[in-house]
Amino acid sequence: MAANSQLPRRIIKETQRLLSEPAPGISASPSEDNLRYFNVMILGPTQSPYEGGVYKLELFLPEEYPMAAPKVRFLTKIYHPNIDKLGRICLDILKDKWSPALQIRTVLLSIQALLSAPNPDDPLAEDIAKQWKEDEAKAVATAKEWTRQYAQG
Amino acid sequence: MGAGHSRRSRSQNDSNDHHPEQEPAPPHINAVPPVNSNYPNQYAAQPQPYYNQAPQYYGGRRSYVPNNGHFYGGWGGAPPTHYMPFQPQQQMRQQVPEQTQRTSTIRNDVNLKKPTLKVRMSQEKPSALLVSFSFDAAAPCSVSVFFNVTEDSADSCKLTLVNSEPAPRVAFDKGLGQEFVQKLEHGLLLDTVSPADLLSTGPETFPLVVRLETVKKDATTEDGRERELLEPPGSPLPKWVQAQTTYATLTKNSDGEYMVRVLKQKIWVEGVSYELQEIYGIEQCTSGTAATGDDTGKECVICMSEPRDTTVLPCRHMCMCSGCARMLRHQTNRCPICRTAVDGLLEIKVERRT
Repeated sequence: MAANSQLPRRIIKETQRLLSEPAPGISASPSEDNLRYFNVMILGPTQSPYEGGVYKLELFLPEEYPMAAPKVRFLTKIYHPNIDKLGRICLDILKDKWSPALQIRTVLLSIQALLSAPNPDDPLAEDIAKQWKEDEAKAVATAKEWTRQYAQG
Repeated sequence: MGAGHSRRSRSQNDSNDHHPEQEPAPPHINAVPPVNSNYPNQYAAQPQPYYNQAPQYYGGRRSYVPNNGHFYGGWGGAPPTHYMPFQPQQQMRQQVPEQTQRTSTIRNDVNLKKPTLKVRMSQEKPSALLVSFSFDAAAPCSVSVFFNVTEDSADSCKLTLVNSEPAPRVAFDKGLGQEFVQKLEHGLLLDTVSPADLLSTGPETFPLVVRLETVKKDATTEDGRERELLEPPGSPLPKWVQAQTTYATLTKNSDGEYMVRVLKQKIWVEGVSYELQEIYGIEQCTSGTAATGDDTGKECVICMSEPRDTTVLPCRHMCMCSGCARMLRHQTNRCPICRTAVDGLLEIKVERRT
């Protein structure tokens, strides 16, 4: 596989470890035609409005990786103040707080944690954040409804 | 401020004629809390600022000078100890970002194991406080313990007791994992000191100091006699002595018992004093082999391929290989582990024993 032979050793190692020792509730496997492109699945964390949901994401390792953060996006529709309707994620480690010591695994664990702890004070989806702050019970109910409607795998 | 600035200017213009005795101790030494305390007995040392010595750092703007220094792999099963060449902080801050320093390694024959230093009340005499610890000695050595002592770092680390005579040295053979337990007659009688003196330290005054000393092999006087330690204990350290000094203060726990808190450790080698500093992550790098397969924890966090050999300063996270470290400096000024601004890089080559 030509693409594989040009792949940095780090990416090969990360991929092997992701496949051999997956993190609980997270799976990531590289696309066959582009080994920098990963199909990701994250299970909604228990005790969150996303419990029972199966979330598909795409993760791409840019040429500069690991000096630049991976690009990650939700493909499954989700009602979350830090995730917009295009699936883009507001998470500091994907932006200015990226460090090359972080990995695909740690990034996905952080996203899983973000589902458990929505942060409406640093919103990406303004309308959802507003709803979350004004009436959290209602926002959580909507998130649960979206989970049932859109995130059933 | 003004004085600090002029010092800085001079060291920049005239770095080989640097007079470190006028420099303050690098303030970052104790500024970084241990991120992980699982890395005992691994240190980088910075000489104390009271001797004249030209800085011995290597490297240049983009050059990467191979290290010709001698590396010592440690004795017995004990982990090797690494020391950083003298590098005043003011200079370090001015260096071009991509500079990597190389280490040279010096031999430390005596080592008090920091976590084992303890005090306890004597069972026979409850007003007496006795010191105990375990230590490694690669040569016959002597132990001396001082309470409420002042150090004159400008006078070869001379230790002066405030108002008493020092207890005599206790001699030991060489050996790893030896135990020292203070004799009752040399313990600290609590009714003779004020508790305030035991719980506080001055800039050069310490409630408890332990010094391990060994006479260097083949050290002889001009007329061929063997050298001996100078009397009394705490005398200025001569060049033919290799010593390690541990400085501690005492604290009281909730039960009113005295506890030891080590403030710093210094070693004295060839007439030069170094302060010992831990390097976070070095232990994984030196233990085990690549053949075991599980190389997480000792591989570079960036390429995940090469072994870690470069420590970030001032935070002392040993997390990268030298190649990635140099590349990183072109991209960012932050440590990959803690995001602290990077002052410099320190490459540590570990010679594995086969």
